[in-house]
Amino acid sequence: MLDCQCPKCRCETGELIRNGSFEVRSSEPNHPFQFWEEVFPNLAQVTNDPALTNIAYEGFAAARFNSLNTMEELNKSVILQQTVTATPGCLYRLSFAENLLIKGNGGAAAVPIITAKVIYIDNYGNAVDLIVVPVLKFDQDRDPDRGYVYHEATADVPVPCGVSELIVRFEYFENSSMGSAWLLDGVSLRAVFPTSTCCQCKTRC
Amino acid sequence: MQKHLTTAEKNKVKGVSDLGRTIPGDCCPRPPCVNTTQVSNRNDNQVKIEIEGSKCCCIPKCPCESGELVRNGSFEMLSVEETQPFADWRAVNALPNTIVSRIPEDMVPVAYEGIHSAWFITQPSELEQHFISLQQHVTVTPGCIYRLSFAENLLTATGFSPSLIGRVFYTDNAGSRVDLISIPITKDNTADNLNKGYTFHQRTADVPVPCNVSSVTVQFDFAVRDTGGTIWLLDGVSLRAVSCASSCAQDGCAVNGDICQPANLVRNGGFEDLTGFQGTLFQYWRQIPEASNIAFVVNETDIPYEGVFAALFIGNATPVAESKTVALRQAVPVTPGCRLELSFAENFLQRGESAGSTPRLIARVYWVNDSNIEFDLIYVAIAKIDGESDVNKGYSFHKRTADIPVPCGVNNVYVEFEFSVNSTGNTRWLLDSVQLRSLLWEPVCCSDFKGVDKHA
Repeated sequence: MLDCQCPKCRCETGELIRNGSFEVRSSEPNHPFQFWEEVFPNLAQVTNDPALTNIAYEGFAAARFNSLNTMEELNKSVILQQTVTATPGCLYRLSFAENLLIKGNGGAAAVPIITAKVIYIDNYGNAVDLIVVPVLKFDQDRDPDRGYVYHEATADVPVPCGVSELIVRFEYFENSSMGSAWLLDGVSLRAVFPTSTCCQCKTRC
Repeated sequence: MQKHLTTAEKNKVKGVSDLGRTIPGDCCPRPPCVNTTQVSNRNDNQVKIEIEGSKCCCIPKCPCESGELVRNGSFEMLSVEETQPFADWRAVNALPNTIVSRIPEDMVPVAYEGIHSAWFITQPSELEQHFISLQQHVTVTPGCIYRLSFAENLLTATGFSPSLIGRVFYTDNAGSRVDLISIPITKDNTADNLNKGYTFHQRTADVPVPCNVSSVTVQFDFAVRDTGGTIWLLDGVSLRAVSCASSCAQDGCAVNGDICQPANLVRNGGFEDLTGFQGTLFQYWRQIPEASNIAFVVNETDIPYEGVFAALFIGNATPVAESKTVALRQAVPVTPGCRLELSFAENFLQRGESAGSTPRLIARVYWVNDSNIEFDLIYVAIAKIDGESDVNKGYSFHKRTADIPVPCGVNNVYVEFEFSVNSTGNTRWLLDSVQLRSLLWEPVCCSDFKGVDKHA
């Protein structure tokens, strides 16, 4: 068979996210699940307690974002993220499933939000978004405990030619007194097309 | 090293054989190789190419779009026109008692993503029939294959069987509308169908856009007979190309779509054809074991995901707890070297008494060697462990891509869904819309390819 592609220009054919199903817990500090890091916890956390994470989309476990209960309505947030190696010039698709189990209470601003992002850090240290999926739950009667919902988003632009590392990040935020509980599972990041847009130049192949 | 290529050599590099047949090759949209330059304005066939290993690549001249084609698919942008609720969308064919609106003033947002969604609402009137369409015209590339995705949420219903049909169609020369994609959703007015949250839908066209067509319409038709009060939400509409090179190319652009077909390889994946045999109602599917009173599969009409029917796995009630297992299996012809993608929707309807954490639905795509050993290409295990919070929550969509291609020499795979539970009471699990597709990536092996049939 004729193969006219530059091998180094091929995008990944497999899954880029490790432990996207959250089946493997971790005892490492700030890593509730293997390969996943919890950062900037503020009155919220990502729990791996088996008794609280057994409502799974696939497999037996999910990640659970929990806000702590407070006397006052306060901002609560936490980030769960994983760094993955990517191929410059490739276009990627993020997918995941989420399930808001409990919606916290509070005033009008008590709207739990999970924002799924795929970002890279540019040469100046700035985080640049490739994919952003904001999921907001406004309705106490119609949003919580409705089972898992699948989401899928494809970047409109490929990874820049000088970038080989991406961060897949789930940012959780709410302003509440009684906190919410939100499940996340089935996280996947895959290349959409087989060939990198950066491979036209041999020095980049 | 530099070399002047003959036409045959040039075609070979481009991915075109000496016989003129398109050979799978590079199809990713990207700028031309900088190593390839035309050396003479008088002879287009003469090129200068730098050959160093395999660093130089084929040059696609007909790429399909890599970005999103639907504008404002999340309905976040409201229209400045008073007669239209959303930017880039038009409500058409509306009966006067049916509207598409942004969030009503007395409601809070119920969105799939973002804040806004499209609200299809019926209003009280003497006329029971309600109908409206929401549409957008989209410019496409002839010869490309597209995939439609969206999420819907039937909040309330007051009449019988409201329906929402997601369509992608073009208008042919005779003025007829020809569907490329149609996703019909009809829900009975029962508690099992209402207010279950958003459900994701996705379907890929089995055929590319015709070569003389450069515009399609994405349209959602909403209809119901009621006395007003039905609310159906729509959000997250997306149309993207799944092929990266057009099949309409006349210039030798490499197209591998003729080998790894993106059409659905599973026959009767929607379980709409009930003329089956071998112990199951469903045509092309085999129930294993074929006859059992303890665990079996029937058709379900009240709670389909799409279409009219779904497959309902049942673990029947028994006096004592025992293991109950039944599977649906279909043999599927595939093309060696292609990568497969499985999708389906499932809805865990009922946990039988004493079932505890035992309910399982395992989706597999596997092949079998001469020694009867099974090798998984795709494996998705779904376990229902929790007591209440995972029962009857509506359908969940699943999609999984194989990490490895179909091995060379393998021409058939099995798609199998195995349901199991250990319980005394009735356990029920719904399955619908099974799709198995090849990704339009280059096949990795085998020179003697044979295409496989597609099935709706």
